[in-house]
Amino acid sequence: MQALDDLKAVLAGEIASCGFPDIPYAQFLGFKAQKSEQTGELVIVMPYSEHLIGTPQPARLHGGTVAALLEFAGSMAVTYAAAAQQAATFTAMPKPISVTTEFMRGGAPEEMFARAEVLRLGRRVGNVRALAWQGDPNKVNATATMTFLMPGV
Amino acid sequence: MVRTGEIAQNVDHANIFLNVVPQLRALDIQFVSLQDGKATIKLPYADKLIGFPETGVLAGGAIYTLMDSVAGISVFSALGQFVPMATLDLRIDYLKPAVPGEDVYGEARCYKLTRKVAFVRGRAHHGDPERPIAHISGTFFVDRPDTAKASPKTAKPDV
Repeated sequence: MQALDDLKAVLAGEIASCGFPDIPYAQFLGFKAQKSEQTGELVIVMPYSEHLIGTPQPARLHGGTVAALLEFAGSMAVTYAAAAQQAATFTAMPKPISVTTEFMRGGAPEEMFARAEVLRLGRRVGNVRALAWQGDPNKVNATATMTFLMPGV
Repeated sequence: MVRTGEIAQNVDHANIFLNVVPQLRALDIQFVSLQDGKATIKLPYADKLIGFPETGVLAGGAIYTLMDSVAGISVFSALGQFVPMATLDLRIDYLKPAVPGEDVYGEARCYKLTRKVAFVRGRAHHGDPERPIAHISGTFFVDRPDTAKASPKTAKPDV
């Protein structure tokens, strides 16, 4: 998977960021990966684009795009963790079973960031939590709690 | 003021809503029906929305956006008017992958409305609601005037 090699390079500091040319929906929303300067963890960025708007006045990002960012950050985190753990047998992306989102602040018409933590990585199931913010990482816009079915079991 | 029920049958409002929201236009989401408090909209299959390139299965996020949107329309329908509204929380269960190449229908019903909070359930399917590919359950904050009354009837959720 090209995305995994790119994520490795980002986290190793070899490249500043990467996109996801293999995943059409990630391209549609403009997702990019970068490494947090503060914590060194993976951060997914959704650059602002007019087509992300869900409420015209005042302009707010569509909750669906925010949820998509959270789900993607969670998916990449669990995929990366699984690939690191079982490099040789890793075959496909984990599939989300359920996603529960909570929205705390409306998304302003500007770029949004998301990071995800793999709370448990099992052979069959992965549990992940993701946070999204804009500007100040301490001001959370939305969270998602996700359960993934791991591939190849 | 427009009474509850009038707009519920007024498909023009739903169409206006779909046409002024840039993300819904970008997804080419189309209005299907609005009757008896149940809203249905459609997400046409598109290559740009593929989340799993090895199979062509749509990204969960696209289905989520469809369901969040139709849930909102069901709340507007239950309210009988457009008021500022925000999703508080929403859970989606992906029952099975969307079939590549097939359009996805999203239907939702606001089954309980209090003065400030709307409760919604819904499902996504490929044309047969009895064979859903996803279920949602969500709550929405609705910024109604304090004089508004809670909905007297609580509809039995059938989705």
